[in-house]
Parts: sequence; C-alpha cells; structure tokens
Amino acid sequence: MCNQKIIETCEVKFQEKVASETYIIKIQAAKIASLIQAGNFVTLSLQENNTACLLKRPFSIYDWDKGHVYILYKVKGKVTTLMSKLVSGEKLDIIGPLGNGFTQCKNENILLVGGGIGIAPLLAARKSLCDNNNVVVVHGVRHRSELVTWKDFEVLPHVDDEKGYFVCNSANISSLIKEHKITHIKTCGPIPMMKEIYEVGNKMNVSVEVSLEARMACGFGVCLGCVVSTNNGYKKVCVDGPVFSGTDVW
Amino acid sequence: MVDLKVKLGKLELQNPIVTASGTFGYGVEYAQFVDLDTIGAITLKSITLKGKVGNPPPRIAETPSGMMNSIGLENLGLEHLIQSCLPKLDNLKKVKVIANIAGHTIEENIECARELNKQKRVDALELNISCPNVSSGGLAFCLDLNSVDVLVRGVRKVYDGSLIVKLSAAVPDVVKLAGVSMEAGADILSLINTIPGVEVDVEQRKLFFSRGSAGLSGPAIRPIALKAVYEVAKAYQVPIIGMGGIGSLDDVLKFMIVGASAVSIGMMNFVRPTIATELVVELREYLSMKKLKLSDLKLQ
Repeated sequence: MCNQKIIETCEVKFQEKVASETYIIKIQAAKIASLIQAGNFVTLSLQENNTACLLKRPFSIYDWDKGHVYILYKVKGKVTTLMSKLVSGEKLDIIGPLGNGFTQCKNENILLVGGGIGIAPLLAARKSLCDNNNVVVVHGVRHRSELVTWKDFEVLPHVDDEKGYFVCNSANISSLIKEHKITHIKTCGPIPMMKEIYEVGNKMNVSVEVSLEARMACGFGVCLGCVVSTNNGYKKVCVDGPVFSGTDVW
Repeated sequence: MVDLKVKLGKLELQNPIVTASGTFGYGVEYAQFVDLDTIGAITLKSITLKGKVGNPPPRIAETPSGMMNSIGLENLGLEHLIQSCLPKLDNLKKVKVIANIAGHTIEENIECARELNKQKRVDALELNISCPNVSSGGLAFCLDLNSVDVLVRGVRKVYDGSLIVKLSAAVPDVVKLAGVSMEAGADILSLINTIPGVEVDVEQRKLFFSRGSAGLSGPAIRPIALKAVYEVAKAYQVPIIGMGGIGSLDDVLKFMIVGASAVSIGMMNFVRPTIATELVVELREYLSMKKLKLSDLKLQ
C-alpha cells in the first residue's frame, strides 16, 4: 500500500497515438514518479473547467522514470476524448500514486495477461519483475488495430477474431502455463477473462493476482464508492486494491 | 488580519469553512494533503451503533455538474469511532470536530449520542435525519415531523454539547421541518443533504443503482440548497451551516449572503482535497480586499 500521496499540477510533455483509439501520455510529475510501485494508479482531471466531468478519473500507471509518469489509455468517454487532444505544455491536476501495487516476486516464471487496455498496469509489473524473474507478457485484444508495438521487450499478441478464441480460453492459458513452466500469474482486463484465468491457475496450482477497476469519486479511501464484493466482504478498489489475490475475489 | 471567527450558538469556529459528512472520512485521510487545523470544523463520516456494510456496488455515478451516490452509510460503528478514529484527532488544537450519527431508529441515535456526549474530542454532534440511501431511518425521519420531534428531543436529552440537525430539501416544507427541529432542541441546522434521484443503465435497461434511487450532490443541487438556506434563514434566527455543491469562493459568499453562518464543502473535497483550506485563505483575502466583515455578508 502506498502511504504517501501527492497532489501535483503537472505539465503534459508528450502524447502519442500508439494503436486504435489508444494513446501514451507523458506527464511531468516528479514527486509522484519518485514514489511509484508497479500496480499503482493516479487520478487526474483536466484544468479546463469542465462541469460535465467534475470527478477525477483513475488511470493505471504503465511506466515511469525520474520525473515523469506515463499513462497508456484508451479513448472511451468525454474525459479521455479531451485528454487525447492535450498537447505539450498543457496542465493536468493529478493525485498519486494511489493503490497497493502488485506483490513483488523473485525467481519465478510469471505470466502477465492483459485484456485490452488492461495491459497498462501489467507493463509496469513487467518492468519491476523482469530483472529477477522470467516474465511472459500476453496482450489479448479483439482486433489487430488495438495492438501496440513495443520496441524494447516482447509481448505475445493474441487477437481474438484471428485465433478464434479468447485469450483467456482455458486451453490457451493452461498451455501457456505448461510451455513456460509458469508459477504465478498477474492479470488485468475484463472480469470474465480474469475469472477464467484465475480458475485455470487455481486448478493448476498457480497463484493469480488481479488488478480491478471501479468507479470512484476520491481514489484515496474516503468516498467508499469503489467497493467490490470479495470473500472478505466489501473491499475498496482504491486503497485495499486495485490488486487483489484471485482467491480473495472468487 | 480579517477576523473569520464565527459563533454558531455555543459552537465557536476559527473560520466558517466546514467539511461535510461522508466526504472527509474521519479527517485523518486528508491530513496528508492539508493542515486540518486550518479548517473551521470537520464533520466525520456518519456512524451507526453497530456499523453497516453499506449498499452493493455500483455506488457512484457522475451526472452533469454533480455525482450520485448510494453508499448506504457504510461504517464500522460507534465503538470503532471512539477507539480508533477520535484518538487520531487528539493532536489537533484549532479545528472543531463534529461527529455525525445516522441510526436506523430513534433509540439507536439516542444510544450513540449518549456515548458521544462523553467524548472530549467531539465538539458538536450532527444528527443525520436526511440520508436518502437507507431503507429505514435516514430521509424517512425527515418526512415525518412527529418522528423528527421525538428523535431530536430524545437526542437533546442525552447530549449536552451543540446539537446540529441535518435536514433534507427533498421534503414538502423545509421551513416547517426546520421549525420542528429547533423546537425539539436543535442548536444549529445544517442543510441540505443529497437530493434523491434515479440513474438508468441504458445498455442493460436497468436502474443503475440496486436501490433504484440514490443521492445527488455537487454543483447541480446548489440552487436548491441556496433556496432552502434562504427560506429557513428568513423564517428563524438560527445558526445555519449551508451546503450543496460549494466549489468556489463565490459559492461560499452566496450561501453566507442568504443566511448561512458557516458553509460545508462536500463533493468537491473528492475533486480537490485541498479545497477547504484554500477557501479559508480566499475568504480572508476577499473580505480584506473588499474591507468587509463576515457580518456584512447578508442580503441587501
């Protein structure tokens, strides 16, 4: 759990379209960047006084460096549409880093499965895990146009309509587990996908961690709006998560 | 330096900026963002005697200029508040702490009030009789003036400090409701709570919230809140904490001009966690620049 949270007014440094409706935005946020753990998220709002969208929106951090936070996001609604039009020099109000983050691992064979834009926090996980583990990253999408090309590391693409089955298809996940001798899985994406991956992992004695998403008003544990039902009662995605053990959720 | 002190009956605040219940946790959650001791008062999240798990998700929806919530008074109960939350506020010297209770029944509220009466860290008690998101108690109290009378009298008997009654504007006659609350022993009135509304999930063709109705807050309800404060202030000499979509100095001034003695910040704490402390500074600067006193903020 990330204890220190920072409010920063940040400058957009760079924005790039990397796939269909999918963007990477680079934001100058030195204080937040210095505190990030893989799996954290930020909430942000545009400075333009937009009364239609008052609440800050949560976004996974997909990468960070000294001084900057990078968000990989998909245009889905009003805020992301406006966000995609921001240019270098424009400002955002950001709170972060928020949430608990992924558990760290050592000497494991790890499978990371991202469904759609759910790949974002897993790329942060890859960065923090790849030095001490063997990491296999799979990105499942509905259409080829949604695939992002990554230069510095390998991501196994899975296009549902081309392969004829969803990325979370039991046979597919179990063959990945066998092929790479997987000992731990982290996943983020649609709930049915994560649930199926959890069930396959559970059968094969492989632990599964999931990163969940929820509507939230604050992002720091106050509004109680983002709860999910778990085996231990309602838990707040913003502070108890977003990362949960699959066994807590199903 | 402009004096921002206000007296709400016996309750003295260093400034008229308060944070609204349910939007400020138990105070400590905001200590990482602001110096709590700069705020007039913080109102803690509603508690019930034994705690509540709250409503099933989804609990939040955004609306134009506002949000809807159906949290359902999730809380860990009176004992948790006393043992775990209040001690964390002990080191604060200037900010006043308002506890907020929202029991299902008259008896439950009296029991909570009796215990909170013993707590030195609690400077005032707010009785929430206007939450729209629970099946018993809450707004149902506000809709029955006889219940309001019995409830407020019962709590008054066991609570010696400043008693605030939080009213809804979603009632046939808010002035009458205010009158009954005062007659029964309320020292201060706070208004308004969220306004009941409905959201629809078009894709699923279902009501968005499991309880159907939820509470609307934010700038969207500000004119309704201003009207309620205006009408009650016109009818009675009673200290009022005005709230409903306050997000700027201009909003603070509007509430005070129509008769609020203090104002409470709600939803906008989520958007800008530093807003309460910023508004204290802005209010002071404004009065200084305009050469006005707080008491000058009234309808001309």
